[in-house]
Amino acid sequence: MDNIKIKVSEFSIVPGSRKRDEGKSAHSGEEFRIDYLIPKYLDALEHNVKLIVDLDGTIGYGTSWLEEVFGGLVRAYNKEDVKKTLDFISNEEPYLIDDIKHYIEDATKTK
Amino acid sequence: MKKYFIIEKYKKRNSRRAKKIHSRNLKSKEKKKLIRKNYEGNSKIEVAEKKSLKGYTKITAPVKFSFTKYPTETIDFISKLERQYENRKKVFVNLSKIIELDYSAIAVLVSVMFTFKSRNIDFNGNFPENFILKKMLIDSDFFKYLNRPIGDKLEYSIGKKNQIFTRANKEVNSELGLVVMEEASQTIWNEKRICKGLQRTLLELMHNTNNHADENAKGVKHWWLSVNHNAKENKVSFVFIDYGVGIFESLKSKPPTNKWFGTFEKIATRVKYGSNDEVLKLLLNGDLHMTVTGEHFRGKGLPGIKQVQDRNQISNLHLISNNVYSNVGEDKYQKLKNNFSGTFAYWELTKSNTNIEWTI
Repeated sequence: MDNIKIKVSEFSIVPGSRKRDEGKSAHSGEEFRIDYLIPKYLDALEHNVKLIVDLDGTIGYGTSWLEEVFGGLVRAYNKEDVKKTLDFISNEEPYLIDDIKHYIEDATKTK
Repeated sequence: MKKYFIIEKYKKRNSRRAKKIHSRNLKSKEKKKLIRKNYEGNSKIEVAEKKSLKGYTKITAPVKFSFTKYPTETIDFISKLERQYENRKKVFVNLSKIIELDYSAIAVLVSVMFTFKSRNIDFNGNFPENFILKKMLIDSDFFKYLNRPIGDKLEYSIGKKNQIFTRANKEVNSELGLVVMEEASQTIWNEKRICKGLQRTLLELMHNTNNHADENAKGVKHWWLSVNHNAKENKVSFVFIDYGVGIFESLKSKPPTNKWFGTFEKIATRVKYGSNDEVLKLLLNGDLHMTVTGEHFRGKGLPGIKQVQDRNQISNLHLISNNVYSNVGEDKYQKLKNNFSGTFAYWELTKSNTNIEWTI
């Protein structure tokens, strides 16, 4: 099986808040993680392939959205599996990849 | 003759009543005289104006009215208005003597006016005598809304170059950034461009208001965004305000179960930074979690905004909260004499800021 790809812009070009309850037009990280990312993550994990998250094509991200998505994933699943499985594309904002890696590391500490 | 006029008992009563009425009439006459004197020398129009403003508490705006340049004076002005608001007193804002005015001040005025009107407290004001400032205020729609019953909702009007926006529901609204970005980039670059830093700044500030502006619950306080286009200088300036508890009070007021509980006290004792201006610098630089506990928590919003300024995605970032004023771009942090209950942010988007092609 080939690597699996997920484009955030297909979820929303305006990713917004951390939690669903923070707004009707929030396009929240919680929603993306639960409804989009986790099913694909589990699929990738099961078939031992990479899940490539493409962050390009949006108008920008708040820190809470990113932390909720990727930190939240670590809080629900095994950190090493997450690190091993996830890969990122971020040509428009390359620094986001480092930020996300920090969120993944930090999230483990609060687990 | 009727008993009413001749019997002693009635005579006494009538005389007592007559005295009372006479004294009341004298008092009333005196009162009317005083009122007449008060209006002496005024034209009919002035008298009518004075009469229409009866019962209002007159509050004079600072002569130099700018939150970014004169925060102490502006906070004093806001505090006076807040006191009237708490006591449900009608307010007349005297703007006539203003000699300096900017969009940060107009955002304060409009947001305060809406706050009063949403609670059905009368709010009124006059024009600045200075023609340019008067025009600026008229263009802001301050007077348009002043004389109209309103709810607490102001929508973003597409195509309007200077405006203030709020949401009645106090939410994080990520879709707003798209419209604002399209229009701002048109003003600056004459075409649509993606400005990722602008969206991050908006999101962090909305999130901050939604999550932290109230001590007890999420989504309680309103936020206000003012967007002002300067086509001549290819610049768009932004003002974001909430009247919540402010950054430092928010840190102090967390319950023991909250991740932020005790943060402020820990900083003050462990790092020996007692003063809020230094705490704000720590917060913005993202040093807080390492310094305080060595543990992770989610307070990445403020560093996130600072990063945007550092990456040249926005310019001229100013933050005011509680008793701290900071010009983040120039690395200036200053303790104020008074306290602003809330958070104020000002920033600009200019031609020199990083942007990418509109690919959406």
